[in-house]
Amino acid sequence: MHAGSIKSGDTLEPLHIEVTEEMVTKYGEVSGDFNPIHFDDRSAREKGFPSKIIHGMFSMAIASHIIDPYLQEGYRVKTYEMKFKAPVLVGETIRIEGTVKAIEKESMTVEINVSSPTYPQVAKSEILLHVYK
Amino acid sequence: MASRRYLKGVSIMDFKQWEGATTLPVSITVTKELVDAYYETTGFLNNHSHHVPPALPMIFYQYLNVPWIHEQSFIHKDQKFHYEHPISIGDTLQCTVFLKSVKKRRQFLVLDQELIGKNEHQNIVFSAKSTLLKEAE
Repeated sequence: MHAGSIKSGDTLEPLHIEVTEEMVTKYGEVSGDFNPIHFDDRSAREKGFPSKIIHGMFSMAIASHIIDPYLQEGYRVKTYEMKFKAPVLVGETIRIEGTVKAIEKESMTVEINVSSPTYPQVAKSEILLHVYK
Repeated sequence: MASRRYLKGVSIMDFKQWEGATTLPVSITVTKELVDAYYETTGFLNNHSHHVPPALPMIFYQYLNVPWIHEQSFIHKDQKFHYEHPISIGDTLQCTVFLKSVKKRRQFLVLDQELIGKNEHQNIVFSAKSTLLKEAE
């Protein structure tokens, strides 16, 4: 992929990531976030979820990998925004899709949708990439 | 958010008293070990040398004493990172959290807060705005 060949409407290679219990445990350890709704089904059900759910910020961490090819092209993240619409249950495989919404000389906006087997949209996101000189 | 114990039955007034408050600054260095451990959680390898993943600053919360979220559990509603400059491995940032607003919306408490990282010249490097939800009494 070359920056010059990117155009508005381009779709990015989708990612399919199974978010395992082990990954959630590791994220808890790295982030220091041990909220029991992420680790214990009963605690999650008490909060109205069907079972334990992944950290919202973990789905944001995973979803950002869709723009990895652009980072290799020299782009850097200027803004990264996510709206969380529904929970991702631990053990589910999420699908991350991205589309180039706009491109200018030194910047590019990518729209991202995250879905799961349970919900067609668990999060929607927008990333503004910029080439710093 | 990070904590060891999670309390139930907290009223909006417990949070309102902190509206407008800012935490004490904490100096945080972005080490390669931290970045690699963060990458590893997602199952990806760090192939971008000094690049720091865009959502990583949220893990800085564990190093900050944020009294209004102490021993509380929240659900993330919205999150926005803004970078004035990219962060690199080895950077040291002075971080604070500012509680912008506390509102009640239907059965939820809604907290808007901002984690800010500044460089040694006191210039803002990044901000991380969070909207958090918690069931209200």
